[in-house]
Amino acid sequence: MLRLLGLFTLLALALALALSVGARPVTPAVALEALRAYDPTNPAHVTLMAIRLPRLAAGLIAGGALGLAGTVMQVMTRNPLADPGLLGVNAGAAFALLIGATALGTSDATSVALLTFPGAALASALVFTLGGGLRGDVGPVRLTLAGAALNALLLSLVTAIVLIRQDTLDMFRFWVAGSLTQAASRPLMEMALIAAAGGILALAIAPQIEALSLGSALSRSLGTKPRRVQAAALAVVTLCTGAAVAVAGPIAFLGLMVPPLARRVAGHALRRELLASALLGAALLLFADTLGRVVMPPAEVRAGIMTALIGGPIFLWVARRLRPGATA
Amino acid sequence: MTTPLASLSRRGFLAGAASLLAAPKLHAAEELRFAHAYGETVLAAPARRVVSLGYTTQDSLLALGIVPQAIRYWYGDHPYGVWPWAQPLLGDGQPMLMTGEVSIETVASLAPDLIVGIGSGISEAEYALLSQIAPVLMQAPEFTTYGMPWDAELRMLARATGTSERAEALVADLHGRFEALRARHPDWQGQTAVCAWHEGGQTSAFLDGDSRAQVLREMGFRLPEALAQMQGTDDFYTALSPEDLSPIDADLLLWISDGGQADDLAALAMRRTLRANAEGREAFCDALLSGALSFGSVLSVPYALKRLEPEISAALDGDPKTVVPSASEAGLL
Amino acid sequence: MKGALTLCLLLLCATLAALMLGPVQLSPALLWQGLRTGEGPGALVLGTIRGPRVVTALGAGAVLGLSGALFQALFRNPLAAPDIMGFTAGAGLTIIAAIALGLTLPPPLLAAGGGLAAALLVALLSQRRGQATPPLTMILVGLGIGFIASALSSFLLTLLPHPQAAEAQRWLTGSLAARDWTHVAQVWLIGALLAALALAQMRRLAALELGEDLAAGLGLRVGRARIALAGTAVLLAAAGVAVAGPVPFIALMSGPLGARITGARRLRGQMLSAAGTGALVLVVADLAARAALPGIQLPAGVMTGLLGAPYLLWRLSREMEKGEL
Repeated sequence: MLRLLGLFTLLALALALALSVGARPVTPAVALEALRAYDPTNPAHVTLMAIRLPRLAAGLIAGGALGLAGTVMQVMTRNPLADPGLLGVNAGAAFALLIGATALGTSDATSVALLTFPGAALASALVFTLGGGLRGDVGPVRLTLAGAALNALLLSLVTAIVLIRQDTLDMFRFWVAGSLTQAASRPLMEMALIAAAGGILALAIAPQIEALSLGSALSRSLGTKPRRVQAAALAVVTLCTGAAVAVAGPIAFLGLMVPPLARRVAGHALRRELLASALLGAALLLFADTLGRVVMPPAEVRAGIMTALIGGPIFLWVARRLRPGATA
Repeated sequence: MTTPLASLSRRGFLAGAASLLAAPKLHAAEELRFAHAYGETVLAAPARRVVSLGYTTQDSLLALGIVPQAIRYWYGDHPYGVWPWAQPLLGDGQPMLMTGEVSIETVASLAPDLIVGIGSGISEAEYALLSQIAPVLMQAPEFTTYGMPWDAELRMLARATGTSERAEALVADLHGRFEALRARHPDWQGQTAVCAWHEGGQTSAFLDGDSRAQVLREMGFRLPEALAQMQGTDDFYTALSPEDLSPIDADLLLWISDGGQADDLAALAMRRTLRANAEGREAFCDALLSGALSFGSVLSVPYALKRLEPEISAALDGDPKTVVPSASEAGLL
Repeated sequence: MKGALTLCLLLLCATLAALMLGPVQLSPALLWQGLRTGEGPGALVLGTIRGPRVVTALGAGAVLGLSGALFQALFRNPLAAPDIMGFTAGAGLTIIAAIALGLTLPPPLLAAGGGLAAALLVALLSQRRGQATPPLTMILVGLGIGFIASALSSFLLTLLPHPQAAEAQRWLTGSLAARDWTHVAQVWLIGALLAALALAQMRRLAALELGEDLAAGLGLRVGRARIALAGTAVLLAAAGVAVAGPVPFIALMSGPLGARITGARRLRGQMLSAAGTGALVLVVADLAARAALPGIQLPAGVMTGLLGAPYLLWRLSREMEKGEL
């Protein structure tokens, strides 16, 4: 319990930093004034209300959703390499985005969100299914192979489109380094609801997932229906990943590094682990986004890149500590 | 799907290219020498069959009265990759449109006597291979791959195609247009102007090395001090913090787009804090006008000037109430 | 034996097709005339335009395929391939960094250097004092290095002005455009040397496949043997990337696909079929990339992904049926 409390503190710190740090100083006094009497021509007010607050909301949604989806994926497939962002999902979103943008000729932030959600959701469902997420007794290699295959296929198509239609390259290269900068024009409310639905579903089926992870035969004797649990887990991954990609673009590392960290904090009770992953995912994404604002002024380093740069070493550290056999 | 090498003429061209490869014969008296980024190219005689590999070099060639055998596709949906300002000069010409990497065998099958690689991004290896098919021209050594100014490019191509007289006339004409424009608008001289671009949540501004900024400079504008002092990735453009767009708050703010960004710009809240927005000094360049500025060619610049002049006049008339038509259409007001 | 013949036949057909087909089609007669007389369109195509390109593709595909098969046998894991383990991403990062910094070294050489650096980093970071490195740790560390490198690449890509970004994207994909006979000599000479080195280590690899304890029991110095094998595999991949860029997927798929085509059981046969299959796939991919769409020539790397991914997906579903994975 104390550890979860620590997580909440961490998240609170992330929230405070996300609101106060950036190119333009915003003092608490100015913040209060912005809340009381918002002036759309005052740059400090606009920074707080139209840039940092939406970014904060997007970070909470995307980070929390990716943390959750990552944990569900890793537990279901018993695979420490499972990550909604790495395994073809982002490529699916990118593909849908480029097809849509080429066919419809629009690339504004709202249509980007509307195009990427189905792309990411479909791809995550496909990878999860192909990777044995619906079968239970499969090793970690399958999912990674399925993801790698889908990823390569879709990215080849994406590269082909981008090289043939060079005007799509600009949209693509900025989108692909996922970021929260366009939060204000993304459908935050809708995606928050979708991610929340995924989260609630995840918490609801947590005991069944735990039973299933003991092995299909054992779980049947406990009265769990594997098919139904697997379908529900698939729905969780689909909803959460789709929502995250729609608000933030591809954030590749979060779903991979959060679950092992969450397990350290929350122990092996899945519900607490899920909660911890959501909190940790949100906090980490916000930290990454805030850091990206200050490391290379005046330009910003996009959050998707910062998560990889922060998450990379953490991931390497976890990978080195994994005992052989414990993951296979 | 593919072009069979059945037609005699095509086979003849290929054979011709092959023999050229075997024994290049040069007449010392007429030869034309060009120093460029990848070395030196020598032409025996002015070229007639030209393949245009640069993303924008078709404009200069068409302006010189030469319809290229093939054109490299950049972007946009225009027949043969020729944008509207150059279409009349294409006439009945049906150049082949090449997309993606440079297909060397396609180039060889066209049997060109000149290959234009200025602003094409081809590698030195590709240059070496293409040089075995026909002489290849690259940008002059003092310019970056995509940084050769329109007049230098036009003059180089004119020398290679024996059309220098026409080129000088074109250069004089465009310089004259700029001069006349400056004379019509003495109030613009010395004011600040910025070409900016907003994509994927990032706002960037073009710097002096870029063709878009150059057009503004030739109209008599200059970059705002704050922007001129910023160090970009190179001379071409610099990214801005979304929390601080003040460096682009110039007397004239031109938004470049490739068609899809109007809604994002309209929703960009920080734009509302700029004086340029409050005082109606923004203009929006649609895909065609932005394309004309990005091409920055002897044909596209006159088109851009014609369309920009009324927009800038409305933006800089000193009255915040005057509506800039393009900004109003794009929903930026 | 029958399997090996099939592979050779396929390779021959693919090579001939790659020489004959394209935006300009050449009849066998013209090709023959060019070969015999050294004149005419056949000679131009054989000697300058398609010849070096196809022979480079054969060599690069073979070394990449062999590299992947070595990795997979060494780590006893179908995912252990230079593409997955950070090599390709490291190669891509150096290319983009060079373009961003305005360096003018040939991209393929840069790519090989970056790949080697990534491989070294993976080896160093997965070492643990006093213990043998478990293969899975190395794969995971490779994945991690790969992610970091691709993130940095995406970052640099957002910093580049538009045309340079397009150029970088092309090099990132892996391409065989404008190869000449020096590329051919380079990849075939180095490749042959390294392949011989690899084949000389087959006995040790076979011992390692039995498991480390058993291998050690057979008198093998496990650590040293593995470093030598992995080093050979990395150099093979670098030799391929140096002439063709970071072409994805060939290393990953050639081993399993080759074993299917030839039915080879023994290691040496599996390695040779992986090399043959790599060559086959790259030649076919390059042909498709330049001839499939009229007026459009794509980098070969685009096509290896398009060809390889469906194969991998199909194999997955088959093995799921058989319950093998």
